[in-house]
Amino acid sequence: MTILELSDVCYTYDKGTPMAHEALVNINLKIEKGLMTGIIGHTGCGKSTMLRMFNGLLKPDSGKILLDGKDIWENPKEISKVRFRVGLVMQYPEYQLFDETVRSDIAYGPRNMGLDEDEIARRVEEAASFAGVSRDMLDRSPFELSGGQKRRVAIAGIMAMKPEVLVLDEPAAGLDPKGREDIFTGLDRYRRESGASVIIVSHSMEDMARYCDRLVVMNDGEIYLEGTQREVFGDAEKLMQIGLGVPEVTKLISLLREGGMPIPQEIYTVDDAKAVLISMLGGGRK
Amino acid sequence: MIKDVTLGQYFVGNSLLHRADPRAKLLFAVLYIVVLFFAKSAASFAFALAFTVAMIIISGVPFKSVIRAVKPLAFIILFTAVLNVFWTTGEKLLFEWKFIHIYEEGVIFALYMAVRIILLVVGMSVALTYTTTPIALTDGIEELLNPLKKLKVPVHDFAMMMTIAMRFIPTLIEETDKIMDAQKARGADFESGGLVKKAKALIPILIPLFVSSFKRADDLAIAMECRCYRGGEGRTKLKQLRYGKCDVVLLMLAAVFVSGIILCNIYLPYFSI
Repeated sequence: MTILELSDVCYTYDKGTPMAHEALVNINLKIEKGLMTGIIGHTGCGKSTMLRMFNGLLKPDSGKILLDGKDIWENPKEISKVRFRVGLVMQYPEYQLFDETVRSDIAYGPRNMGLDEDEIARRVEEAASFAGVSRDMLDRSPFELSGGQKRRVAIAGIMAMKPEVLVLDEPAAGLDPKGREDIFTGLDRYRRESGASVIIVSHSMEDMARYCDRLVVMNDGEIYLEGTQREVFGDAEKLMQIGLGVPEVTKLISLLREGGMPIPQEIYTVDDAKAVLISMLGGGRK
Repeated sequence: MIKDVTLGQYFVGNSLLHRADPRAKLLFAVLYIVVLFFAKSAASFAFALAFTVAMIIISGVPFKSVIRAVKPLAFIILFTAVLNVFWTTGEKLLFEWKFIHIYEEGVIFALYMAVRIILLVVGMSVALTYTTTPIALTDGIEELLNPLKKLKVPVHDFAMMMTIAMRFIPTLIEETDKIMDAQKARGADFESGGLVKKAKALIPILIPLFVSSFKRADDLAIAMECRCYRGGEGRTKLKQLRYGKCDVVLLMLAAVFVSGIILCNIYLPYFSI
């Protein structure tokens, strides 16, 4: 089922000036409910502009954005309600923390929703557990935390609004492998337990292959490729044409295949590769 | 909305005013301001107006941008003008009602005041901000204030502080936009509510902005030290300031302006104040 739909969306920055720049050209996109969708593309391809469309921070010049079948700009005064339903975590969200304690910072969103204190407290605890913010962190100042911890607090701040669609712009940028993994597994848990859709922008093909159900590739303000992992990564040549690639392990597997190993299908994650190789090499036992 | 700030807005160009030495332009601007306050008669204001318009044409800055520089001051200009109309006393009474007395002198004075403020702003932006890069401007100020070094005034450090401050204005604006978007995504509302509510709504923007500014200042200081910055002592410049032909022309323009105003004041003293 479709939860969020963009139909014929166009957007131009600085319209009517010599600096006019077409950021989005006729975007048609459907985001499925309950799935994790990955958006890939070069810097400046319009990803961030599109994310700002999802929750109404930017209004399209033409075209419609439908949330659950309803145009979000039907009533512009109600746009903040849309922002509670489509939660957007910006790039480097740790810079948005401001409150005295982690707890009250996470509560900022729910408080703006006008919820009562019991519900807010419940949501803060819940969001903290999803995002991997430990209990003892809650009463500390957000400014004494490490970079990775701050990032998780910021993500919890959006999760606490319980959005039906959670959108994240490079949630793992600049984190170490452990930090990346923690964030992605937290997002996956949030998606499974709340039934929400998650949309992630990332530059890491490995992360995309590991966690996303569907992939969207953008180029020059247009949708270049869209589909399941097999549909997108299967077309390695088309990805290379715009300077993107497939996960490293996929390259390795196709080299092995060229070398004569009869590996049956395309492999996109290290875990799958491991399983296939072990069984092919007659293993499975230690 | 925040992008409309015109502070430090430089227009790329190659006009006489662009090529002139920043020191010359600074001195020219000071002279311009002082002389503007000497203008007394209708003729001298008309001359100053014509001179300023000529300056805009020479600089090649579009009239639209010049008007944009004055717009934010519209209220102040109007306010001073109205005050002057009501509070100046003179001989020729134009209008009287209960305690309100309006004299001809008051109206003229108010008019002159308004024209003077507009010309001040326009002249300064055309001679300096629109045609000089912030870096060149601070360079010029540093050079001009150099004699103060003898009095142990840290001229170089002040100039460096100004350069850095100006350099980071666009960065701060961009960052404010970003933080506002982030808090809007969390349901922040900056438009509705009373004054107190609106002021409170700014806290989630100001605190992150301060925190990152301090952090950036720290980083910048370390980066400067890594490149062996040790203050102004013994520091040389890549671009040495030199006076040239343009500065001679600017000097002549200044002479025309000064003598024009003085002559108008003396020989065409209509509606003098």
